[in-house]
Amino acid sequence: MTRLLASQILPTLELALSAAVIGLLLALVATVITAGRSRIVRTGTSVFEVLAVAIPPFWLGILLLSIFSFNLRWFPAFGSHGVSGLVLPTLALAIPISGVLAQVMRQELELVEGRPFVLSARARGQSRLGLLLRHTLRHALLPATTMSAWVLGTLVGGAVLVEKVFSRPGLGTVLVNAVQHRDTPVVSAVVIIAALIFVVANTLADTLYPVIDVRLRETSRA
Amino acid sequence: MSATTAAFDTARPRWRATRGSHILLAISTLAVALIVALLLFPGVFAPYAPDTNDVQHTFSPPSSTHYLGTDQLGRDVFSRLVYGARYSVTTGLVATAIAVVAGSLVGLTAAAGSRLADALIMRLTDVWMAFPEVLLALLVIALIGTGSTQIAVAIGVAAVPYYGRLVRGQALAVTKAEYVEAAKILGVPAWRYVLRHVLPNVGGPVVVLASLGTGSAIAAAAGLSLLGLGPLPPTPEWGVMLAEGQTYLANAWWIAVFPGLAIVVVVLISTMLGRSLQARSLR
Repeated sequence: MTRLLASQILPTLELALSAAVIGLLLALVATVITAGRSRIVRTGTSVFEVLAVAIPPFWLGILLLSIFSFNLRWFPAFGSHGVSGLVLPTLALAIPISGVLAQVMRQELELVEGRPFVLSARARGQSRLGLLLRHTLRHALLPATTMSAWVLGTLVGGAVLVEKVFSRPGLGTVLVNAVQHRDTPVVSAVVIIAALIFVVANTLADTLYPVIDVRLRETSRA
Repeated sequence: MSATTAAFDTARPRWRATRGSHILLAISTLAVALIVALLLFPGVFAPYAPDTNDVQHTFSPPSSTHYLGTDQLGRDVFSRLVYGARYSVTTGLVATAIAVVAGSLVGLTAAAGSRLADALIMRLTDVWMAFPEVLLALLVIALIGTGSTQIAVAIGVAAVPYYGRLVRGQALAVTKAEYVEAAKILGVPAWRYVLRHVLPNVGGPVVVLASLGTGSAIAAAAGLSLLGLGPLPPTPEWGVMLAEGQTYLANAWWIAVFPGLAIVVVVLISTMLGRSLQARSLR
């Protein structure tokens, strides 16, 4: 069983991690482009975010397959052959996650942009981009860091379904076979591994806080 | 349930009820009424029976005779979706009901019980929440077997800690209220003031979370059926239709795309209802 799980966990982790990275990047771009912009832009993006959250990854996968594999023939429809086979499943997982992250990050960013220190930095001649990179984006990243463990957990869970849609090898196939044959030890093992990933991600997030937020460094020393 | 719960947890009560939220509430209530009508009288809305084969019109694309096209056996996709709501929506509703009832029990026990009981229950929900919901549901299915009811139980069990924590927090706040203190001083037994005073005041936020959660429970149920753990193929359940339709994705996209769209619409309605109720309760 150990050998079985060891050989199947890598494709799943690869998928979940790349989806986490792409999801965070998408959310960052969406946040930076739209925070504090006109009402129309913001209404548009929040509609998009709500839609992204409502779409189940497994159906997004089917949609992407239908458009990009069967109609445009840009990407392979089955299996996991290199990077091109990873693109569509990653997007299927990343887009819904980016909707959640963007909602949270934009809320935080807009809250921070009303603070006096932002006005003061602007008055000193700090450009909008410089302000974003040096000051405000850190604030927006905090809630995203808090959610990272939840994000990874959701991604591992979602990966099981997306793997089925794309016929990718991985924990998904192992798990579904085990559940159908009521092979409880294998299922428990996978679930415990997932919980372990959650705990590790949470610990990592905790150690990342002081790196992102200077104020937390001060309080922990005091 | 996961995505919407996270959004619920992090949402700050910064907005007030505006005219927009009233309109949203009206629209979502109407949409819910329509879904209830679909559940009760599918025959009124569906032009065909869900299981009538028509070998002469297999794989016809969406048209005015078959709004959403036909599948590999010539069955009308739209009619199957309408009848399928009975399976998909009901499974989500049952799952949420299980989570609400069990979660309220857990939360109230923690809030009303001793400090030790509270601490124990809260650590238990911590552990519970560390498992991704889909995987926890899969573990439950491995233990109790496959089928619609089993899926509802599995998704319900996976969602219990979220309701438990919410109910506990609300109950603790209410327990400090003067009318509860008064009841305690008057010698009213714990189970009685919990049922008569605490529970009714905890209701609001639970209704909000439940209406947000129902949509994702429906999506999760369809996902588990897609894996082949729910009802078996002739059933017009949306996840089963997705799985069947995926086989023919290369030449008939409508068979798999529309069941997913139905899930998205239902999730959106449940999110809209939850958000507008939330905005109202924060007024």
